[in-house]
Amino acid sequence: MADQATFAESAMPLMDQLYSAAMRMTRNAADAEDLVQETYMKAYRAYDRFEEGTNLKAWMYRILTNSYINRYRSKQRRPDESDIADVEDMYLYRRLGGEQASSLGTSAEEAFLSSVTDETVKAAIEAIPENFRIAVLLADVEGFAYKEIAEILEIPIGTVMSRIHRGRKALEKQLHDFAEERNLLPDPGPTDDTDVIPDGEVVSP
Amino acid sequence: MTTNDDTGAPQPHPGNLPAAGGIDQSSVFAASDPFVDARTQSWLGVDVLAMSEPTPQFGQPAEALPRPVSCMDVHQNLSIFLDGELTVLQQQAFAEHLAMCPPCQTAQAFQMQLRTTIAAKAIDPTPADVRDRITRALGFDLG
Repeated sequence: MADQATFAESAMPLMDQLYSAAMRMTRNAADAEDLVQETYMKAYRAYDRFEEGTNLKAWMYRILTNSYINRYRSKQRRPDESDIADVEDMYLYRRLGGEQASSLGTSAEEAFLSSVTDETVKAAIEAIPENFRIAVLLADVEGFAYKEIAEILEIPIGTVMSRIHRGRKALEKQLHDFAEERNLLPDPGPTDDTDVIPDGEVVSP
Repeated sequence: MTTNDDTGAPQPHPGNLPAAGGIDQSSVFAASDPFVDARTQSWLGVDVLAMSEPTPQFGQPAEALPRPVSCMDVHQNLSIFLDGELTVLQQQAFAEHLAMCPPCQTAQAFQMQLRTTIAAKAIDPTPADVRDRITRALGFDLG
């Protein structure tokens, strides 16, 4: 049993993280604000049922995620896991030429990591289909363990692993497309993947 | 009933053997997701080892036997290793491979930097007016 008097001290410092997650989930500020407020109101009312000593952050995320799903998912077209294309492992690394690198930090990798902006990362996350997006957010941005994510989303741990694994690859694909737009990719050399060459650009041998 | 997998329908791996070395997979890898269950299992007993494969690879019974960690294993499972979500023995086997394999170290370094970059760049501070609104709604002093 947690005392509601301690709620402000314990839960309010989590607001930026929750707001960031809400922004990635809803993809707009107005809905994110409402979602965070709803989360705090529900959490405060239920706080006497929160077991002190257990994971408050995970508990708050569970409320946030449930609220999001209940409020917003019904508005959208069905979340379809088959929407996600199969992407090879380490997609971005391979496309940046990492496998050909003889030492740490090739120019393409460094150029990518130093030039990628907040807006790009946010847009890339937001472009992933919902189920995968939430799992990747919880793992990579919030740092939850698989077991915690399974509890937050109330899904089996195998599903968590699957969603994170495939969601990350989808995220890498999105980030790759960004790198491509910015001409950050190395000369692809002889390859049948002609779409890595920007339209209209003549690539000299 | 058909066993043809041309449809892409999940098929069990014919070479499945119990997880190697008596590693207890029950706690972390109790995969009950049909999607995951359908995937092949390697000697590690980790379903996701083959998750990047569109269809299970048949006729490779050696895949089910214990063997050293390969670069391909690392490529397919680096993110799980970085999450620290393999079993203790698996984490150890991956770490041993990485210690001896510069190309995999390079890949590992990139994936770690990428992860740090993503986590650092996906933050939105709560706007002050929103924080105030929520604080008031909860009946707390704005202080």
